[in-house]
Amino acid sequence: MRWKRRFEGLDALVAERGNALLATAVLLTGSRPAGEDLLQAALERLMRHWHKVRGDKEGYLRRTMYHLAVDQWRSRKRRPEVLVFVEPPGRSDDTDALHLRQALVQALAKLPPRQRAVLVLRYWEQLSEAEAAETLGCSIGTIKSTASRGLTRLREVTAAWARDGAPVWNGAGK
Amino acid sequence: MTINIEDELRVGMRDQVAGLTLGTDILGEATRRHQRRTAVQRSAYAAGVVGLAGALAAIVAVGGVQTPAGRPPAATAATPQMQLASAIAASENISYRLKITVGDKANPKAWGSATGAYDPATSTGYLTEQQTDGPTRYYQRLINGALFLGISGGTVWKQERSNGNFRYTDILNGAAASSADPAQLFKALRQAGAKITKTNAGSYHFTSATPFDNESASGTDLLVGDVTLDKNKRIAKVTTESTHKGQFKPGKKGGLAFNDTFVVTVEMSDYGTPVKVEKPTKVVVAK
Repeated sequence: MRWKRRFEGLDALVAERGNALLATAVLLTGSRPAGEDLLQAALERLMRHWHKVRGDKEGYLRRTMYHLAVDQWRSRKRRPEVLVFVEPPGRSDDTDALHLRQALVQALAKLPPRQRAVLVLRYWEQLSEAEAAETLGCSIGTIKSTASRGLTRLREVTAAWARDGAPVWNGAGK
Repeated sequence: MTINIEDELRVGMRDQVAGLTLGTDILGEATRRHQRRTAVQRSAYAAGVVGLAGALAAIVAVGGVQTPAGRPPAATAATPQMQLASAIAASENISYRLKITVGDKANPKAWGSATGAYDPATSTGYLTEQQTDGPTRYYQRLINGALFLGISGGTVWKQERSNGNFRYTDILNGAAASSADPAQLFKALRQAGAKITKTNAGSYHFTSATPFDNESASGTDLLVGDVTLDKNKRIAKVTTESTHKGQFKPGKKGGLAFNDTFVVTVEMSDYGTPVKVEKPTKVVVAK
């Protein structure tokens, strides 16, 4: 009862938005266990600052997850940079597109944390460059250059598709 | 055919997390993590110490032992205090493996553990921390006094400023603090203020109650523990149950009463075994 009074509404927030938050955390970390760890850490930080966080608690949680994911050295609860092996494509068939997407997501997990966070903000959260910059506390220019570097890395990592006669990439990002 | 990589990435991310649901009591785990941190910070704030370190600094008596610096006391030490002092002297300035476990009374392993090795002669060693509430492992490597921090799955290490020892205050939410540092532990075990009894051959029990009254809070640090020696009469295991009990002063933390207990177990073995540590290949230096 004491807990409920102190963190009133937190259990409802987790019940309603927990799955979506976990999805973001998994994309930021590259694995479910690490994603759960990240979400836990963000929830703990929200509890710590409960009375200072006015208004949008979910927004605070999301921002915290992004910052924890990026700021892996300064935060003691550092997130792992998950090492993944990008599977080479199999025989070209109707599952090419599926394989390609899997490879992209695997490659995403292999990016440096800041690049990964920017791509998740831009292409998962669908935030504008200005919104992403606000979330990470950096300039729009930083978001642009980081996203560009991240997309370039993804193209390089998945270039096997192009070499093997699979579809050709369409060049630079938006 | 031309593919838009950004569109494919969007769809790929959506596929990756489709149907993902919370399968564990994530809020419960976060709450427990929060309670641990709160307890550690409260104790530190109230008693003016970091974790158990300051509390242990008031601990256990090896009273009456007068030995020249660096010289172990006589092996024929008669009292439990003197026998323990002899064991401490034999355990210092020599390499060792160690395991630190932190928890509470109900489960002394609840918070997690850290394992490693250290050679005080060269300030070289390693420490791997595994908490129980997450999959992440944290690494510390010391090479001739230079400290490197790493993380499981990470490719880059960070070199931090160092005093030539591990950063014990970092491990396990800071609960162990320097009570997990054998050098600090030995120092604390030497200081006066506690009662030591011999329970068996090579086993000792200590108790200490130290009142504190500072600008933040007043209360008592209670310490109860056991020390076990190995066959060479060196320290093999120290288990300490530390209770910080008291009340904050009016105007500090709302005058809250507190009663927090941690259990820290330090196990030491393989004395004298050389410790070799590889320098990480990719390192950034902390500014």
